[in-house]
Amino acid sequence: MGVRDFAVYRVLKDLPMRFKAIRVLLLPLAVLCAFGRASAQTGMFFDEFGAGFKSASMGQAFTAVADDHSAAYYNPAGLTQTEKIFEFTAGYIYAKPRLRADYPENPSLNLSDQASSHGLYLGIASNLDFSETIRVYPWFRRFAFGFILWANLPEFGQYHSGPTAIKPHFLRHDMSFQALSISISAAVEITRWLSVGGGVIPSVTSAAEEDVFQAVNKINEDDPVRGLRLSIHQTATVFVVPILGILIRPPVEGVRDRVAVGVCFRGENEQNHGKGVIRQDIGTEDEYGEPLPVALPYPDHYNINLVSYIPWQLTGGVSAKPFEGLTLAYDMTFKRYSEYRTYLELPPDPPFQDTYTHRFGVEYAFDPGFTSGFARRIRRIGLRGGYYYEPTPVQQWEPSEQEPNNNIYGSDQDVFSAGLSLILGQEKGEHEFEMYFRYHHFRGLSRYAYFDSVYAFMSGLEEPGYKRVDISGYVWAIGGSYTLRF
Amino acid sequence: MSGVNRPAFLLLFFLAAVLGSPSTRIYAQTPLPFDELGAGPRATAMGQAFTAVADDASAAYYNPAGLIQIRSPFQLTLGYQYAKPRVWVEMEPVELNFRRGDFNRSEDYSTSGLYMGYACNLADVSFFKDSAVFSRFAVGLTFFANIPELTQFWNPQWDTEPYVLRYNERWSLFALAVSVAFRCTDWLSVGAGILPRVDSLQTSTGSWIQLPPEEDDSAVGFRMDLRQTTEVNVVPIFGLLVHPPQASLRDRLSFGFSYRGENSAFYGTGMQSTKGLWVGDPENPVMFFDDPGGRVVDHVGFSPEQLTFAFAVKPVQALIFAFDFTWKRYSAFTFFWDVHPEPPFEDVWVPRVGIAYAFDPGLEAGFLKKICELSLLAGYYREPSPVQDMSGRMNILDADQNVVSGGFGAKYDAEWTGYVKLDAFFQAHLLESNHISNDRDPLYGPISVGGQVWAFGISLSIAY
Repeated sequence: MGVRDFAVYRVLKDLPMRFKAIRVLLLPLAVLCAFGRASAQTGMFFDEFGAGFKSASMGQAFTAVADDHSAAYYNPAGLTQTEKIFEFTAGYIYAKPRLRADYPENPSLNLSDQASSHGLYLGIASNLDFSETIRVYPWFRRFAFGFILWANLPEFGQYHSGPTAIKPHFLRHDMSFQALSISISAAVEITRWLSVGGGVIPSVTSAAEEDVFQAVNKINEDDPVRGLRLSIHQTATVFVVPILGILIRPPVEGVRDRVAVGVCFRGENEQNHGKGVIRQDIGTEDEYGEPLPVALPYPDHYNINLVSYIPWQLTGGVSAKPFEGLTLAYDMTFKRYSEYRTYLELPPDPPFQDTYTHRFGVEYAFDPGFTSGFARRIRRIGLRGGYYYEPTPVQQWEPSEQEPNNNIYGSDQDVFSAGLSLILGQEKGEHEFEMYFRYHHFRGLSRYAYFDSVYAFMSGLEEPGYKRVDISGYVWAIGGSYTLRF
Repeated sequence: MSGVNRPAFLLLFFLAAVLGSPSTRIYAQTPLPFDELGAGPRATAMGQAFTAVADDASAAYYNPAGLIQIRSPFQLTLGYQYAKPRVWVEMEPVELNFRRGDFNRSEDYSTSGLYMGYACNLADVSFFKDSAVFSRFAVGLTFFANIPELTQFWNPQWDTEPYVLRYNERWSLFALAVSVAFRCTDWLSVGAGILPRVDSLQTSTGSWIQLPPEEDDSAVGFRMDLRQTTEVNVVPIFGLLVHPPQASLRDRLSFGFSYRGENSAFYGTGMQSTKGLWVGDPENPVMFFDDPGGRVVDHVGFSPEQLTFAFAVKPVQALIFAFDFTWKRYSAFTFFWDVHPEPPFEDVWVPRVGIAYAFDPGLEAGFLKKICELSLLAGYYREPSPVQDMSGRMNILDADQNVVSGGFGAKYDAEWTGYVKLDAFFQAHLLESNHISNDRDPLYGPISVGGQVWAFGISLSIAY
């Protein structure tokens, strides 16, 4: 068997005659591959959809409130406000992105159909008031612990990766690649007016290095792998992202219970998933599966990864209780998006810009005073609302002589949220039922995308170049939970 | 690269042709770390003869019904475990034309990680103890996580390549058992739990090579749409624990039964295909190669369905003898691509024996007087290999093993809690030498396999 017997050689040899037919046959598949689904690289679920039901209802303006298990993420220092030795929350969240990118000059193309996210939420917090321990070591009373987890159901870690930043894709809201989001934190009360806390966000980064040998003479035989011999070296590494928090209540009697100031820092969280180095040879093998000496090697290449990136962020928050039952909260978060890197560790061009996010939250909780039947067990009702504005870090650009290297789509978003809480039970222990709704509205944006020769071909476009694209859409999310405290 | 013309580029490609050579790495597909190396220091020290003992958090794995025996609202164990396989593989030289004579073992994968166990009997939690229903429940979990790097594995390109069946646990992200127990009567408890497992596949939905690549293209013209799918599936665990209802026997004898479902996890790559795109003329690219691809190699972590029957006796208060008999349904084992091995695996019976002796050392001086209990533990089991004579085309390497273990525990009566306990264990797996004649294998000659695996661990428990 010689070079002339290779299938690839025969295909190449016949190319001029086959070209039109191949293109016609492959075009629908190519378009499907390129545009059938939106590729995305987004941040952590907590950052995008909230961590905890009270905090998500209040627009995530929670850094200076931080009075339940979700303080493990928003401000670990707030865990010292946990009143019970055991607080356990289990809930369910569903989020559906409806983002669109339309190309007015090419109506048959669009980018949509982002994956929905739904999964289980768990939260645990404890004031660690173990009576035996505190009897011997009273200082132990100052510590508190919190843990939150969100897990995709029933299928997670499903994503489509973009080969390069030039492939059109949305920046946000596809969480289907996320296996788990976890925050584990602890806090200590330094004085009655000052608490500090720290925690970690465990994260996983992985890559699969491949040695591929394609035996072209086995493609059409009864071979379960169609002649493709693959050796994978999969490596996944766990790393942790730090969280630090401070909570201050002014040391002035009369103000201490009415005003709180919080500061929280979360580190950069960059995860890679997908392929690392790929070595690919094309050749033939004998009847025993032994590769024959002649092969067509392709140069080693570092290949596509999905990059999940959350910038390091610093939040300052303040909350006030002007009267009993009413909580007002405001957070301002700085996100260091200018450090953002896309596939293959390349910074986008133009680079992302840092953003400031302003968040507002309100809760009004009251005793409804029901006196009849089951309703009298309802001890407290909480009504919650929130809003935040998050500008996109993606800078826009105009057509120029130089070909841009990214088609990452993003636009500013207004996020509205609302929630309801019912607390049943007594002092010894209580049951809380919560639900919330969120709506992310993306402000419409019209910009240019650049289609290089490859994507123009795969998309069925006549020629490469700049194409106008209109970006719009919304995301909605709902959730419900049950909490037990004693 | 636009200056390079197409024939020249392709010629360079063909001139760069190299000799293809098979890989000679060792590959492995192994079961859960719990099944291989034990779940919990005390259970491991007792040779995993723990189904009828099941009195700490590791009952979540060995026998969920045993969780009801833990009389604490909060029992937490944290520990570290290390295992080092020293498995040798020797291949005798062969001179046949197509046979490969250069196969030698080059690396053993060590396993090290964190262990955590947690148990809670709701009957001892103030919020639940007055409830007629909740006070009958107990919960527990046992968890092992690889550190610092996990899910690292190679898989073979051909099903004929030699690899060792066991002891590479690095593919295992974590091992977790979560269980609940219910006390039916004073002498009967039942329990159930789950072993979550993770299945993961990568499918390339549209990978293509762009020729010629751009000069500054770090991917060298290779582009890929990758679809990664990971699913969590759960494997059931059931357990039963019986203490004879006769008062004289209740504290001296126990019978246990547990069932664990088959745990077959997939990792690797699903469908994979490649297309070639020639873009010599940017405005007129040409598809020149279309490889239909196929479902390619998966890594399978297989732990068989298993049933364990056990009993434990306490002839005197401080002494426990435990016996387990585990049936493992290895005949359901499948190779990559769901292919059955040739010849198929056979089911195995694993007898286990464990002993524990605990006593008050009666120490009088200072700190030592608070040590209220010392315990010595030992165990043994023999696990026959499910792999039959691999003298045909497949070369899955394994051997019968004898496993001896020992351990030590010290319980400290801490004033600030119920107790603090330190446990340590070691374990040695001694593989009997196994010679495979390979007289029907067209590629490989005779192979021998043997060796040992040793492991140790240490943990600290706190109970309220």
